[in-house]
Amino acid sequence: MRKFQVEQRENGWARPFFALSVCAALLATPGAAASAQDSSKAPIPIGLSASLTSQFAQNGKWMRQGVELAVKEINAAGGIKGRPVKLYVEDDQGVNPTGAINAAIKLITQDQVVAIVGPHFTPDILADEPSLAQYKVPALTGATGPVVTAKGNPYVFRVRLNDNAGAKLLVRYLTQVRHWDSIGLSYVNTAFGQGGISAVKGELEAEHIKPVLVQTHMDSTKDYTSQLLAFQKAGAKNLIIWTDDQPMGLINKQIKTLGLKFGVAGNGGLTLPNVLNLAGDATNGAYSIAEFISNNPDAGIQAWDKKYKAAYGEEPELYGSVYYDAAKLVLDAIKRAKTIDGKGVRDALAATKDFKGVVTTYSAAPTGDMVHSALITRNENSKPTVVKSVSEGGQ
Amino acid sequence: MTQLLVQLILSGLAMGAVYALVALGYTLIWNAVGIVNFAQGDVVMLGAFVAVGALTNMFHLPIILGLGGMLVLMAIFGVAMALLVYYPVRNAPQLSAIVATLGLSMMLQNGVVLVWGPEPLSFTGPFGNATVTLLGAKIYTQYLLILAVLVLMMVAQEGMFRFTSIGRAMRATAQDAEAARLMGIRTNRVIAIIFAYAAMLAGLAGWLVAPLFYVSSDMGGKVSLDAFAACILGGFGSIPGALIGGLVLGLIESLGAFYISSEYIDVIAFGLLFAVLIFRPEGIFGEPQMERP
Repeated sequence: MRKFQVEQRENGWARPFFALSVCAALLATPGAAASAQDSSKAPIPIGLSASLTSQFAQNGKWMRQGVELAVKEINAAGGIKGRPVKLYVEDDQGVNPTGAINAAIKLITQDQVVAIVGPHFTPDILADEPSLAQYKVPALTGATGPVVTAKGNPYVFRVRLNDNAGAKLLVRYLTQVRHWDSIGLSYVNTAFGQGGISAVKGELEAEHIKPVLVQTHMDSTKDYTSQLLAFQKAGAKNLIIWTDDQPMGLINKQIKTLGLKFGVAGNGGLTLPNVLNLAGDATNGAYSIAEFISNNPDAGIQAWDKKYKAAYGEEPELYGSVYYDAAKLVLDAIKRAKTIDGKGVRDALAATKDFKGVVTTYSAAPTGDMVHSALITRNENSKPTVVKSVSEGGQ
Repeated sequence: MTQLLVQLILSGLAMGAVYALVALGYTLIWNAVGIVNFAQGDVVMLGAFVAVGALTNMFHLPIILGLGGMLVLMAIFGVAMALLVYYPVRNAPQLSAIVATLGLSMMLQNGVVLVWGPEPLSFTGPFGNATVTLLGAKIYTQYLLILAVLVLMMVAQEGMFRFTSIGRAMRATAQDAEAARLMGIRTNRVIAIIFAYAAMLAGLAGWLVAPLFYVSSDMGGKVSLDAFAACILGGFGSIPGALIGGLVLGLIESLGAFYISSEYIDVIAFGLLFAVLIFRPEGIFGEPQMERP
């Protein structure tokens, strides 16, 4: 009898506590919450996979700024169909397929997003593609590696010009307008660099030009002395470089220091502020194919410059602008979607036609490519300037 | 032709000198406490950030004061490493200490992004992009500075080890910590000093290399790996081995990238390491038999 009484006393707090916990748990579960409140006011979750850490952390910061601005604007205007938009951000850790998969899975399964903006880098989006198809959640990426939209995955959309088209247009301009010959190629040894340089090689071949030397490097390579001297030895007069930002800055800087005189051209990295800050005037005279530069005299771009500067105190660049557009594309698709879930948003994205963004006009092709034009730029006084606009299938 | 060789050899030696400075740090810590400090490359990065990000950019100190200030701060950081990272796990299995240094490495890489932001920093340094012409070849003046500093450091270090009591205490602790303690040397204090010295060497390497490349949170990774390989090449635990191993590795990378292939340069460098491990595992200067701790 006494033992039983003691047990009662000792467990005296346990039972009410247990009962309270069960009630709290029940109240906390989404199901209960949904039925308890009006589900049509529940926030719409969208995800952002960006590089918050690694050598690409600056790019991730810009991406986040662009997307957050778009989300802020739509929420200030009352959300979509009365529902606010909630942005979930995960770190894909730069050019890191494992990090990218972790970020995507977390966004899809934990945060239940209906669409993902990013990841940006070609190796990352490639790693995500099977999961996107499996869970039926669309992603919009600025990756330019051609293979990204070549696999027929209906859940991948590209918001920049595919390198197949971009590299071709750049090479055509260099060979036909600038009469380049004796060309050396340098690329970063990732899916992005390989895809880009392969497109460059293909176009050169079509024009019966053989590169004098092809060399590769890693994102972590710091010293390019040997490679640049090898280009000089092989007789290269011009270099086409397809690489990530830090190598791009270092290569140009070292070309200048070694006193080598090469004509330089490459991917859009040449127009980014971080590359220009690091390489200074070493990139002057370099040509590039890019989508966005802030000192574009176009009135729309100037208005965007003002808006972005007011929000963040700095001029917009490629990442902030492209991913602002990507977020707006997602939000527009959600508005048009028959059902607000992954599949519904994907179908709406695939039907996007002539959506006017800040950077360009977006129309979804069956492959998922949404951008079909770009700018050829040339760096002057450490700033990129527009040389001409080019578009797919044209000059 | 000579021009070319001069450029390749000097850039190889300069990179090699940086590897040597970091490798020395590995060696000293290994000799003293029997652990490999896998954060050594990131200490290089920290030194660069402190000298450039804080002292030069934030406080606008002249370059020499920036260097001096950084060395002092790195010495303090080294002592902190000894107290907070090594000391708590000194009696635990070796693996725990190694994992602790890996953790420190991750903390440093992410910590600098939190403090200085994600954008890489550029640093003009004492010479900026100035070049000097040697035998007709144009080379960064900074390369010559790196080599000069290495030579000076080695002379100063040898002097310290041979002629000062603290140097002798460091050598004694490195050879046999038990015996050193029995001889009255305060080994705990000496170990902290060794960590401080290794951190200073790493910080110096970071300051030397910052004007050439950018100061970024990932700059320690490659240096770390290559310096470790240099240690193994030269004989793990041997100080001249670290020095020569570093210089040789730098030269192999530079010449190999030009004459053989830039694509396979890591394959060449680490392939050589495999060969050394198979045929002469003690490295160039190592002793064939090593006492396992």
